[in-house]
Amino acid sequence: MMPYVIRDKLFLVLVALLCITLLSWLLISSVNLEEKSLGVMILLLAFFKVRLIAIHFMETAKAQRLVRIAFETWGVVVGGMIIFGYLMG
Amino acid sequence: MSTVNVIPLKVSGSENQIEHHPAEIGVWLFVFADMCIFAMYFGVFVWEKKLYPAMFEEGQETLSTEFGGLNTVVLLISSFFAAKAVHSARMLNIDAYRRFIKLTMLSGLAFLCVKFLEYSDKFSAGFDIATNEFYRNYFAFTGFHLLHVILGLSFLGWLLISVKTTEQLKGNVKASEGVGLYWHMVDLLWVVLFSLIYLVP
Repeated sequence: MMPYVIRDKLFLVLVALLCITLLSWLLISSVNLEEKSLGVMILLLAFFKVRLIAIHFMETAKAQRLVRIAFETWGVVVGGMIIFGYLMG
Repeated sequence: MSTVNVIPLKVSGSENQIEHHPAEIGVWLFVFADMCIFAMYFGVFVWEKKLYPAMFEEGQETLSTEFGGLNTVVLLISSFFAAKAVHSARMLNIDAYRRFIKLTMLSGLAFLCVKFLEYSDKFSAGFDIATNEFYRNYFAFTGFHLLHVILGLSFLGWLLISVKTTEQLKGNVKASEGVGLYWHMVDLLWVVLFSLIYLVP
């Protein structure tokens, strides 16, 4: 059972996503960082998770080229817009 | 083996390889359009947070990161089950397919239960959509997302009812990919919502 689970790419992606979620939570609850830096770190981790979900679960990597470009652009534009707006606030 | 469309792709000038494009392009367009609508919501939230920083800080402190975090974990796991269901559909493994669809639905229902507890908690504490700008955004965005979860559960339920045999599965591989794609979008949007509304100070 265990070796099969370790070879399962989707399962490894799930573990990575859960670890990043835990990391975000730990950052908020225990790390003493400047507020804006902490916020940017959490947003960057969130958009890294978005990319993992898009590539591995939604399979944008196997989709038409236009789809891949659209999803990568969405991540960069929306992530950039949120982080920029947050830093300006 | 499968009735899904395959598109021949020329690789290295000489070798032909079969590449499979997941889901119909129309589903991708629908999902992308929905993601753009949510992107505008994210923009509105960031903008209003800039206008009312104290109100948003106070409002965020009243939210339960435990409920939000639990729902993030639940949705990530559900997305994994949905991906496994799509994989099983391509393998035409009807037993695994139906098992993973059921597990995805169970996780989705768990999300609804946690959301119900969270909303009940807020209502009993006297917060609602008319309380202030923070709560208007909180209920509007999480509520709109909740509608997506309910719609996704309906699609999954439809698959569970209509696909019971390998023959039926053969004709529904693309539909399963489409529903899976929609479910992953619901998960992806929650990841951003959770970070933006519950976590970012």
